[in-house]
Amino acid sequence: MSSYKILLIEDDLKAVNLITTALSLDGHRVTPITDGHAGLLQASMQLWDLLIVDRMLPRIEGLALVKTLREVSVNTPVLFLTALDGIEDRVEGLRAGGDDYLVKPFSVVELLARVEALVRRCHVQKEVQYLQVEDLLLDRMTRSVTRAGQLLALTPREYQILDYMMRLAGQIVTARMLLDNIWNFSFDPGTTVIESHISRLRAKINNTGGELLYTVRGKGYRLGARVV
Amino acid sequence: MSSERPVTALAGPRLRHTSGFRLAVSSTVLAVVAAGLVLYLIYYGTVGLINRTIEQQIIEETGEIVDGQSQATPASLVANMREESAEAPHATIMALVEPDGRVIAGNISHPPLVAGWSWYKLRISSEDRKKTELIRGHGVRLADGGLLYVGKDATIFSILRDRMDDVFGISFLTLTMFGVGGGVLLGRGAASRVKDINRTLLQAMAGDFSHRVPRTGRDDEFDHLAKGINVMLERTEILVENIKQTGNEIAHDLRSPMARLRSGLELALIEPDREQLIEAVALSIVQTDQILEIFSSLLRLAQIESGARRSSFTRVDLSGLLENLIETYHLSIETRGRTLLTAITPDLMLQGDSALLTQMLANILQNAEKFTPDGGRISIFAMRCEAGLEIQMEDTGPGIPDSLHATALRRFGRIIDTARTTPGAGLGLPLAVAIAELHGGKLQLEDTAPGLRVRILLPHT
Ligand SMILES: Nc1ncnc2c1ncn2[C@@H]1O[C@H](COP(=O)(O)OP(=O)(O)OP(=O)(O)O)[C@@H](O)[C@H]1O
Ligand SMILES: [Mg+2]
Repeated sequence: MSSYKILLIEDDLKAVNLITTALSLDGHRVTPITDGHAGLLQASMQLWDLLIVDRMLPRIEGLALVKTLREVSVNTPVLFLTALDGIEDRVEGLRAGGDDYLVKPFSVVELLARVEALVRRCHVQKEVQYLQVEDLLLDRMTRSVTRAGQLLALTPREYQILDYMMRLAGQIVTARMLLDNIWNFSFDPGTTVIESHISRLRAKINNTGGELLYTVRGKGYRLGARVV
Repeated sequence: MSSERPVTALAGPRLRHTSGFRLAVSSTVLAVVAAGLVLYLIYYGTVGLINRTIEQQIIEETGEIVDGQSQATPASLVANMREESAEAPHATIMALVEPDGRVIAGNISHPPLVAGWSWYKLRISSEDRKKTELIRGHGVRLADGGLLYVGKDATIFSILRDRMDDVFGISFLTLTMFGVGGGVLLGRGAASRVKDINRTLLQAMAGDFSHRVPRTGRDDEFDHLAKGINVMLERTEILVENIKQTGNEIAHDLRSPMARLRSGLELALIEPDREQLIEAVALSIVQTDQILEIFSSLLRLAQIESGARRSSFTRVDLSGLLENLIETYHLSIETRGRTLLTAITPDLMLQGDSALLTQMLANILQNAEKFTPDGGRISIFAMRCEAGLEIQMEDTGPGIPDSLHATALRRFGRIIDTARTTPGAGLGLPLAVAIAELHGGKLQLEDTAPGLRVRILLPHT
């Protein structure tokens, strides 16, 4: 797994500790900063793979910080951290130029998956016409998916899921990530919902070849072999 | 909160500080001033009239004595004076004074030696009594430099003034007595009402919201105040009760998952097998997430109930939203021989919060999915109705008997018979109700035996 250079702007020392430990164990290099102003300076002066920004910071608010960064054309991906009751925070955060958000307290699995997804998604050109994972090919122009040359009959939702998962091929996609990015649900719709969609998609994909869409127990789902 | 302030200050105001007392006293002062003014006007009106009459008589008599002679000799004047006093002895005071101050004729010995109008106090001493008369007099300067003084008894003035003083004094006393007395009564009344109010408030401050401010039924301003306070106390009582209840429920509802979590972790601690240890910790994390989900739902519920989200209402395509939900849930519903029946009128629009409306419908759909047995059916209808939009979700599960509808709609309310084996916290329906109400609508449960129908009415906006 690749190693990323991550700037963590967060004033809650417990959270700093947890995030730094988790990300370091995963091989990333984390620089924690507890102050909004210093964070803004650091974020704009150095090159980072990812910024993790708490919404509530001393001296300068997380939202304002990211807005300012975007205004001066710093386009490093941003993961917002928000409090438990921040229902509308996601929309607000994305509008301000954030790329994703995570509600505290979050699971380490979720954090690692999000970090990976954000940095990767940034590397994958959003405008490319084809996405490919092994013999699975998605054509964005015709909105069609083939496996080993054979056309798969997908619903619009399945196509959306596949587009998302192919961009993040080889890494874990959590149910929460699918809910946030495909369904836009801020609540928990019940355990079986995501599972039911994934298993039908899996059936369609596996129908024309070997296992390609995996369930990673206790974590989420993965399309394609695990990237190392 | 500043609950530390001395509460004795609330016992009630001092009498002389009550507005009733002050009002009475100040209106008394005004009444006294007004009475004084009226008496003064009457006095001067009367005195003026009498004065004019007396003065007229004096002028007339002076005229008769002088009798048109501009160069009158003292001798002729004296003769005229005699004539006058013979007509009415002692009624008129007269004196003819020489230029050197000597009185040469008349019935007084020391007249005022000034020309024009003057007041003069005449001491009369007869054998048995002495008295003083007030004389209004007029002096005319004669051609030879002497003075003719004519005066009349005006004692009536001083009598009148004395009377006036008496009247004023008496009315001042009675007015003041009534005023202060009334003030005391009023002030006492007000003070005791305030005391009543404060007693009730003190009890409320001490946490006992069951008391109400007594009302006299006179519908006065204190009754109005009492009514307002009582309504406030009633609402506070309900709120406090709710909070207490919710607090208890949260405590109660979180106790069992917390206890489970704790014993799971405790067992994990002594687990020798690493695989099993990891298993146990993973389970604990799942349980923690469930607890966090409960908190999250409670926070959301509080936020919805505060009405704050109403400000972010936009135009929502309810039909599209339902189709999206159906697409999301149909896979998990259409298992184990269960069927999903839908009839959604297209283009149902309303003003609202689409994320919350989605959650409301998802909560109900999720319940239907959870409780519908194998081979059952779930139906979703959405249409226009007179009042706005109506959504019905029906299932063929165990349903909820009418008597337990309130329980099901309450926070943490679950029907033990049917829900014991299904996961859930009992927050789905209360959230749905709160969201429907946020949109000015309502949510009703109907027992379709077997099964449940949830009917949601959302008004036009
Ligand atoms: N469709 C239904 N059929 C039968 N019983 C129901 C149905 N929907 C709700 N109930 C009863 O009402 C209770 C309250 O429902 P509610 O949705 O509030 O909580 P829950 O589903 O138990 O938990 P949560 O929604 O928080 O996960 C349920 O526990 C269940 O007993
Ligand atoms: Mg429910």
